[in-house]
Amino acid sequence: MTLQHDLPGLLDELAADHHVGHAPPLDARTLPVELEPRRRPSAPRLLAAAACAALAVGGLVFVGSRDDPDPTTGNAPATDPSDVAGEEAVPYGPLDYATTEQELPMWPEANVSDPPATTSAYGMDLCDSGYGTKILRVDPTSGPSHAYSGTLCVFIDLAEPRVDAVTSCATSTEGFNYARCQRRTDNTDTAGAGSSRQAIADADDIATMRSFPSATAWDQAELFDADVAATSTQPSPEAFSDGAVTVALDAATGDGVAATVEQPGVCFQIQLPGATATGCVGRALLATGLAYGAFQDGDGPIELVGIVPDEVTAIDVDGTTITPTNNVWHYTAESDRPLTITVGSADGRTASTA
Amino acid sequence: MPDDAPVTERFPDPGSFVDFYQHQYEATVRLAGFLSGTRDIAEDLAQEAFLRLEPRFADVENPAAYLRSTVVNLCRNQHRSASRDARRLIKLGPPPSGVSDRAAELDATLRRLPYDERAVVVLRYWLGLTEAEIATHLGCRPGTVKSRSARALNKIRQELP
Repeated sequence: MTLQHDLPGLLDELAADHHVGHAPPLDARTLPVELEPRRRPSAPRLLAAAACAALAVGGLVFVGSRDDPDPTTGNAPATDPSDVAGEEAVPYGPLDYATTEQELPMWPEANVSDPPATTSAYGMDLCDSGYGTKILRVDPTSGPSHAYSGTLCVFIDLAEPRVDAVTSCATSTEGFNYARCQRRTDNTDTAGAGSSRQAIADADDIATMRSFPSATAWDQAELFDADVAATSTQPSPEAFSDGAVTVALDAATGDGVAATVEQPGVCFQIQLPGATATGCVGRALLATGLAYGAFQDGDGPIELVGIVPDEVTAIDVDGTTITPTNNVWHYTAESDRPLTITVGSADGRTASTA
Repeated sequence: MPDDAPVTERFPDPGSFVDFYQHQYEATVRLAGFLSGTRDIAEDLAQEAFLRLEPRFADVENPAAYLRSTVVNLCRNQHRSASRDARRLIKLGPPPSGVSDRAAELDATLRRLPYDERAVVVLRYWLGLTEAEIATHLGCRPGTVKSRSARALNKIRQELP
């Protein structure tokens, strides 16, 4: 008898020992049920199409014009839940969540709060490994937007909080693509709950998302050993600084992290113009050599920051060759030209974004 | 419904939400019990999962899969919260009663596994999901599911008599 053969029976034995009563009645104390008949997923929504099309403009990310204060027009998603027919706002807070789970790719939004609140931070949660490029942005009612794209699972604290902003997130490829978009309206929960809702991208949207130049395929080959020597530079964990960005790396250890990051993993803190990005990356994505993030504050340049394992010795971005320093590389993209990232090892192994 | 029913029977195609809720409740609570490692909060987690599904029930392509993913994520959050607060509910939950020594040992071993490894074992060997389906639920690649499964099985082998 093999363990695999025994496991179903043992698990059934444990499940049978878990005595579960009858399902409680559906009433106001449990679920606000409306006996709506099932229907097929709703038709593609114009909102998603507009948002996705506006996002992909040649380069990695597109940020709304700072001259467009109305988030219901132009490239920004609508702020009023009633603007999206059939969508039902779900209250959360102070962290507002929207997910891309199941029906993918999706374009979820963490909506504005009621009453209006300051969006102080946003990011992606539960998006370990490199399954396509994640795209987030914060569109405030006034002031510059902030956008992020990349494969790193990040949480971004903004240097200048954005008032009553709409946060959107999406993923750029089909398949095993998953992320949860979140927004922190404030740190005290005094602003009350916000809400989130989802819109499903249609075929055109998906094609637009696919056009993002730097998507890392969900089945990207894991070519390299995932060891990152810079995580052993304690007690001074600063791995990289070039005046524009500063990156600190640390091993993804400890109770709160180790169980949630495939080992060996790395946690990072990236200081960049307008924001601080933190997160952790697991073995699988590190092994692709294509763990990176692209940050843009307002209409400034796109700052590309990558974390590579020891075996990666060179990175090519847009024809420029970069040598990593302590497992980190940085490139400032001044143009909207599509960018391709290629990483290589000394023995000739290379990997590129799509 | 027998406990050894295949996953398609544990999570049958739904009709109305009420039917779906009543049919799925028991299996969902048990899944939450496995994944969270504590039966005390399994019903709360299952209720929360149904609560999140209900507004989307008419729209989602596969409510059962959506429900499973929601349970997986809620239990992961519970695991993280418990870790952060050092309450370690996962390791302090009451052991099962009335099961064989081998099943009890498996229960204890599952509680010690990292969350994603535990989830892979439960989704694969209790629900009978494929590696691709598990990858979707956990947000990782099938190859990662395979490696997590191998690591989990190695640990279980070391603990089970």
